[in-house]
Amino acid sequence: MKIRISFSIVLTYTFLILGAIIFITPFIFLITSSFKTPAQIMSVPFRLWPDPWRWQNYVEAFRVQPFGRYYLNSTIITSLNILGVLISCTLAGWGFSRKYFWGRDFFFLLILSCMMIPGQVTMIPLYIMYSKLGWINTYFPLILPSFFGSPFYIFLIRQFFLTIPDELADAAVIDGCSPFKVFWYVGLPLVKPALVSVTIFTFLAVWNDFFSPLIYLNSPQKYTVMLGLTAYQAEGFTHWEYLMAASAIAMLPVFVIFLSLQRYFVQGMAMSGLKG
Amino acid sequence: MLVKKSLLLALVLVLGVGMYFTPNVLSATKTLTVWLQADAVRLPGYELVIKRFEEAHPDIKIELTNVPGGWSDLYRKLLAAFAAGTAPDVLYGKGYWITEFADKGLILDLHKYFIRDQKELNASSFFFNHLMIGSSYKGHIYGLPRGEYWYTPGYNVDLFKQAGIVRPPNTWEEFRTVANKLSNPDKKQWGFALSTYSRVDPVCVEAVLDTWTRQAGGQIMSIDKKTGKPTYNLLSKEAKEAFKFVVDNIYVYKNTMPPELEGSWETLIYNGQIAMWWLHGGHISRFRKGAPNLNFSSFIMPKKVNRATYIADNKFMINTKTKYPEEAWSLIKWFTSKDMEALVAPYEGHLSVWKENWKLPVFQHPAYQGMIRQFSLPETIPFQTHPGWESVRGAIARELQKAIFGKATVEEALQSAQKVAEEELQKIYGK
Amino acid sequence: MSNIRRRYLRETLTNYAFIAPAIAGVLIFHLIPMVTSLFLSLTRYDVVSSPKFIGLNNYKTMVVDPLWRKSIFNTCYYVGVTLPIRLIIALIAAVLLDQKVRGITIFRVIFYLPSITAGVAISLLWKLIFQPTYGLANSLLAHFGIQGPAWLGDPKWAMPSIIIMMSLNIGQFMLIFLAGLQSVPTYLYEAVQLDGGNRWHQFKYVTIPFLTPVIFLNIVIGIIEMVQMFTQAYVMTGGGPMDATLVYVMYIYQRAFQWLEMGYASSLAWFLFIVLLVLTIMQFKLSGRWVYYESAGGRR
Repeated sequence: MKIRISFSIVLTYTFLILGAIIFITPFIFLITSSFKTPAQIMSVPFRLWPDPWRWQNYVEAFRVQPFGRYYLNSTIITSLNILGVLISCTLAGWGFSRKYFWGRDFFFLLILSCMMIPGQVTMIPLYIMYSKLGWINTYFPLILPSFFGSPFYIFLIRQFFLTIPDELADAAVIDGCSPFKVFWYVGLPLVKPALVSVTIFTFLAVWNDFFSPLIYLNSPQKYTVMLGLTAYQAEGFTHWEYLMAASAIAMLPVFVIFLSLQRYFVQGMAMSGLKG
Repeated sequence: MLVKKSLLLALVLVLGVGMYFTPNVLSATKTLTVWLQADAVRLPGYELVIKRFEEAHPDIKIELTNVPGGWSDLYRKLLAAFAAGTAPDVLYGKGYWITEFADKGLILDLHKYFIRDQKELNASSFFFNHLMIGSSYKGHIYGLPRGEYWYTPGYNVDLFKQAGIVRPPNTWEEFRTVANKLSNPDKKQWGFALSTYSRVDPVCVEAVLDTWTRQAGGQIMSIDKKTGKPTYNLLSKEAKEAFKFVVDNIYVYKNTMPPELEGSWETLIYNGQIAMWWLHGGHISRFRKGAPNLNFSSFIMPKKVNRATYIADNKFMINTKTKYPEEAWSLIKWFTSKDMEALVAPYEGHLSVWKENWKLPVFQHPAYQGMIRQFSLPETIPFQTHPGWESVRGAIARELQKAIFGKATVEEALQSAQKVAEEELQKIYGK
Repeated sequence: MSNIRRRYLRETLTNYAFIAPAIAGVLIFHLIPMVTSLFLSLTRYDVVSSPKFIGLNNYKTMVVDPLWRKSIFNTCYYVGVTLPIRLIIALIAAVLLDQKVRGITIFRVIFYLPSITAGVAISLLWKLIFQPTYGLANSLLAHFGIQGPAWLGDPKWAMPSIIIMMSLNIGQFMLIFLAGLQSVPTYLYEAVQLDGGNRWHQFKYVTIPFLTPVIFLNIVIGIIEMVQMFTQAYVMTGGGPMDATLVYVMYIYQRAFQWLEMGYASSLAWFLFIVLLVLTIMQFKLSGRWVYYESAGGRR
């Protein structure tokens, strides 16, 4: 018995370590490449370790392109998106979690069914609408929709709101709270984990978003980090050393946020996945 | 309390965001927006010119936008910007965009400005009058040229010396012989590399078919002088001969770099694994910086019936909807003047359109000598386009690349290319 | 009576105040564009001039368009190969992580890394990895004496390159599998053991059946997500040598934003929508046959 258990543990660890090596190798390659000179990156045969470590890549990557500006832009867009999502989706999630009112289920189902619509169907008319409004090359198309709710997050937050017993809300009403106050003081504090999850999901989605900035932004000053990364490739020629450095920096916030908040992330995913 | 605080915070955020986005409406200076496309090597040159302009014209401020991603991206972005009304005052682009933009009424007719300032522009001293031809559409001038370019063959001088090749090839046959001699595919050595790269088009039609066809004595496209309507003939004897020459080099004689390695093209040249390639001015400045030990030069097109190649240039154009046409005109005059071209030359690399500038030290590099000789030949002709040129070329390129990648024979590729060319023309001109 | 009615009315109105932005959003950003796009698909429209009604011409063109067929083929190739690979790897990872061993968090983070950085950054990284002359892939292969292909430059290898890269993107699936694994009742494992079965039997007869709901969920989510792949193709190959990586959404993008054919692109988008809808409905209908739901006593 004992021997068999040990064997399975050894087997497990072996596979885990093997898998971990495979998964982490690209990132090691990323980091080491970001410190190499172009000649070293292009050298054959391949040498993993940079020699010497060229810290300037990181500095020059920011000079060749206004990468700091891109960072600022991405931060602004992402923060505003998170704000918008938190506002609109908590409001909607709360509303849909209340006792039945006329049209509640109809509209909820309507909103949910919008998850089924692939973005490409709506993207062209939206682009044309923004074009007519003169909002191309501004941040409005990238931020505005978040203030009007997002089906997935509404669903997720509603799940959490549903776990709050009605008695709590009723008690607050009896105490003389307005409906908004009930939402703010009773509802919201009890779904904090959901809010954190939604924040993380939104952050990841918007920070990594490429398609919307691609079609809506024309001036490099307005570019986001992801858009800026593609600009290190000229026609036929790529500055790999700058690209790797910039990519490492681009990935950094994602790592940090994920590492520190992964508990909520996992929880949020599980909740959404299973009940859905 | 909490509600009030959070509302205040939201208000501050919104105000902050608003101020961030609002353009500076308080200044009295005129602002011109300029879009161009430049990599890290070229950009400082343009910025220098703009700085000098602003010093000479204190009441004009230039807002430069370097649109990354390449010429094709710039073209699409410009079209989208024109559609949305957010296009810049001044744009710098490929000369043959004029046809498309002027046809749609997007760029300003510069005729009256040009007539007025003719002496100052000293137009006759532009070496290439045909460059000015390329600036016009339906007889009117729509742009000012700067930086001519086209492909001439470049070669690795050291590789030639090592193989004992005394002078660059003179004819197609010699070209093939030399390429064969310098090739060793097993050792990743190739005598020639087609630079076919373009982000949107899979293959550069000019580089794989058009120019070669001209050298064989034919042409794939002709434009009716009266109506401006183009006809494409990809099935002529010359076209077949030319394309077969190119494709056989890849697959029969194996002296040309396989198209799969397109992404490594420049690296292979730097490493001395490619002996001959098609060179233009932009490559020269980039190679000099990226591979200072590379000993390279250029020669004139090898002859079949003639040594034809195209010449083209980049142009400055003005948006019809600009608020400051006079200021925009003075900016593009500035940019295309002899002195400013001399300033940008070391950064941009393209041969100057002012013959006087050819004495500059930067153009004494041997690679320019072949280029200059080539452009003096009568067979070097200006590049001509028509509305819808890009979509037709793109469709043709899609078919041709099948043969380039060895997935179709030369005849099949040319047949289907002819078919799609006619379909595209039908879409544009038909009905 | 009327008091209760009035209160009900007030509550209803209040609730609508809460959900109003969301409903407005659904209208403005989903439903109205969707209907507009249907109309657009019947026109020729390049944004500069006004739309021209051409009836069903776009759809007629679509059906004989060789690029349309190629993009469908590419997308099916991509989804059909990558999805099973990702699911299998995710399942293995989830099973491994479900063991009560130490340091699980570290491994979970490592396995999740490729997913959270998904998109531009990691596509560019893999573009360097797949560089035929000096990239990591061919350098590693050269170490073993194998001559690596041109990866993204070779029409045969371009899509497999993207597939290899995306195969490591398993985080989302893995987490869902993990959640599913944790819902399997442990007494059933003991029952198998008592009957003389080994771990493999446990896995086959207990774990898998209980995992069918999450497998189903992952398949549905996976197909919808992967059919819409764009960024990787755009960043790494721009549609690929000889359109080898021209996936469906890439083609829509090309037609809409590079050739400014908004009408045709809209018809392409609608085709995608209908196909996805039908596929999803079909999956749900078929799920009754193979998905096991414990809560419903084994059948939905």
